[in-house]
Amino acid sequence: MIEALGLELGKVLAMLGAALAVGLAGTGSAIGVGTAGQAAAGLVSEDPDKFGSALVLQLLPGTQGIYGLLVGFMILLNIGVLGAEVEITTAKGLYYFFGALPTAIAGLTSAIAQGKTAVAGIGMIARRPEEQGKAITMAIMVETYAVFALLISMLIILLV
Amino acid sequence: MAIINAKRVTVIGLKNDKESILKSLQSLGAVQIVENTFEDVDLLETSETISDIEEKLADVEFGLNLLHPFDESKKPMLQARPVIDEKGLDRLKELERKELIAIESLKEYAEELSWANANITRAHNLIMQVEPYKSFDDTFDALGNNIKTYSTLGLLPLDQKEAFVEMMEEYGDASYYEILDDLKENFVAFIVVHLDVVEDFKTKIKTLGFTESKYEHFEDSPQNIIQKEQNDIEEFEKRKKEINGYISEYLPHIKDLQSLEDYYNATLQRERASLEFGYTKNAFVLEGWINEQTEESVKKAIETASSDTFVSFRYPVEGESYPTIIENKGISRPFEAITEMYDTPSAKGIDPNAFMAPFYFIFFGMMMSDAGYGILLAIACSFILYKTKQKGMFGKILGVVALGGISTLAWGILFGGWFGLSVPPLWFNPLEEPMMMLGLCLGVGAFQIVVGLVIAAGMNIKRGKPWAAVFDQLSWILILLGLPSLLLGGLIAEIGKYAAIVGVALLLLFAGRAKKGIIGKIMGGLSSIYGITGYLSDILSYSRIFGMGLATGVIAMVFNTIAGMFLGKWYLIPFAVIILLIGHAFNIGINTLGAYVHSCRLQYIEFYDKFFEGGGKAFRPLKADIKHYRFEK
Repeated sequence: MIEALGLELGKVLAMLGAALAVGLAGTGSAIGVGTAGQAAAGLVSEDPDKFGSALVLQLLPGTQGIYGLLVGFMILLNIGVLGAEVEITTAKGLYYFFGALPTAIAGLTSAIAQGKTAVAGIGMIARRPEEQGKAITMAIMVETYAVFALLISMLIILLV
Repeated sequence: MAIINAKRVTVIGLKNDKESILKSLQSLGAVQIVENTFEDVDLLETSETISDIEEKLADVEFGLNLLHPFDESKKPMLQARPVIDEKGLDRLKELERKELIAIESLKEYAEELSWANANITRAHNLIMQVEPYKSFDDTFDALGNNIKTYSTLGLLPLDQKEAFVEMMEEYGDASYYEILDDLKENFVAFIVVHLDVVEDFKTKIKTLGFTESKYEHFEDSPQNIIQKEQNDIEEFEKRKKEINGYISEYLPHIKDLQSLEDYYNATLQRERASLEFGYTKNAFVLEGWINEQTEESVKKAIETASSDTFVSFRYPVEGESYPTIIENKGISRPFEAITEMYDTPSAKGIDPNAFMAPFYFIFFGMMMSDAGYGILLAIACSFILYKTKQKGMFGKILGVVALGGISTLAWGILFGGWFGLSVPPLWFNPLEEPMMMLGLCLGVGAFQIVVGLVIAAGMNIKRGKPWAAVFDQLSWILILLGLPSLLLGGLIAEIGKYAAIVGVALLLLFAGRAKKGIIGKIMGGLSSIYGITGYLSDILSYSRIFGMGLATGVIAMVFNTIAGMFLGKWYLIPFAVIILLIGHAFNIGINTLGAYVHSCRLQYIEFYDKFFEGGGKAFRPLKADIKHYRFEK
């Protein structure tokens, strides 16, 4: 059917991967930043001076969405959507598709989990503002897995 | 560049000199006063001076909070606070008389404001309650029992309308009713019944869900009440405006009130410190901790304040706990902020800042890895630092990011990143040679872990435990250096092989040495080999440097590509410029945060884990901790 529509299967698979990476990782980040934002708003309504600290924690689950964007962009760049036309074989398209999956999956789940950790961290700085560094470190522990996923995604995309 | 020895200081002086000694110690800012340990001295449980100052401080803060919403003067964003010294701070007391009078008037205005607000709320509530009955044109007090009739006004649910009409019709001439208004869920009914049937009526109407209006005490009609209350609201609103006008006349007082706030805070800090003293009839005794290098200046400060004072210093005795005094000079100083956010090193451990700073510097730069961004960061942070003269935590963080900017510039040149454009790199382009980049990241990671182990080994040797250094650290150092060198081939691989074998053998034979029994020792040795997974995950964690570097570079490319799409037509160029400005600003912001926190994490989890001993108490000398001025001696 894909051939009947005049499409190249390889490109379609690669774009599906790009769409998943951006869409799923972005969904995770939206949820994570959203939940953390609610907690941050609660804290700031009590103590407006803590806006800065709360904002940093709220931002942390936002990076997965950016990682998704990176993967999506690199795929689009490599399959010639953004520049000169490139021939993409079905095999290569499949590689790109699988390359996008780590960031899509780990981005979705880790951003949600990181959002929850950020909420707890915001609760922590409400009571003990001096422990901001520890709250951030705890949230960063979650992000590790999104970074690893991004790395593998990029290695697949850059090396195939 | 390290943890400085603490010394215990004991000062015995006359009560009359207490104030001047405290002032001179506060302005020196070098003594952390602790609870005195003398026997047979009185302790000050509370102090009238403290509660008196706290009250005045609360008043001043009240005044500032009241004036704050009226203050529309624009303050320059980057402005250093004016400098003040001990004498200047003392002189601020002169403002007290004038400002306390101003605060009294402000308090009266605030009271009148809240009274007006309470009245407005009350009026609004009353209007809301009476509103449904506004079609009733008699007065409320006309309701109730009359000579022969009983009249009432109230609400009934809309769906009971038919039942209500039916019920009323049954009374025939003994009743009169009027449906005045239909509201959202209810209708308003005015009802008159003959006293003969009133009891029957009251029970029946209750079953329909009748809510009676309870305003018989008003000698006025609903319309009039609403009108009157609305007039009241207008009056009070007018009065509020007037009062707000009076309050805003006090705006010029803000500066003096702020000065007074600082004065009270500084005084309060001294008075609270004096609660830790011990007292006799005429004398007081003060105990505290100082940095050993400041001994002379502390002595001089006390002697200038009063000549009849006894001062002595000693090093801490065995088992005594004392604060950790950290001092770093030069460019590793700002990095203290990174360790401060984590934990205070134990006073008996070592200060990690000098070891950590170079790694932090390198990692930050590799993660940002864009020469253009590096220049901007370094210039912007240095400029803010220069303008605001921030000292504490915030100043240090600005310093870290400014230095990180320089590192970013260097790595940007090496990797060929300039605002995401492809410029020929001095070394290699990570996007084109990802394996090389990954190897570099893991390499510096392994190196940092080895450095951590070397520090731990050094600490063990210094404490007279050289064998612990060999078994617990050297073994791992041999493995960590030996295994990767297998990849290089040739003689190095041969040496690496034997190094790794020796390392594993050391672990197997001695890691379980503390365990009891021969089986325990063997199991301890075997299980320590399992620790290799910990080191593996530590080293892999450094791949985040590559991940963060990719993020900066590729997001910059994304914005450049989008802006590039607008470049076709001349009239679209402004859009391209806007996209570039906003996009790169966003990228710098999000990636500075990322580089900052991920570089921190690599220090905390991967590096400090190997040697850091935390749980110390930070050194907090008595000083003038004030908001609106910068205290300088």
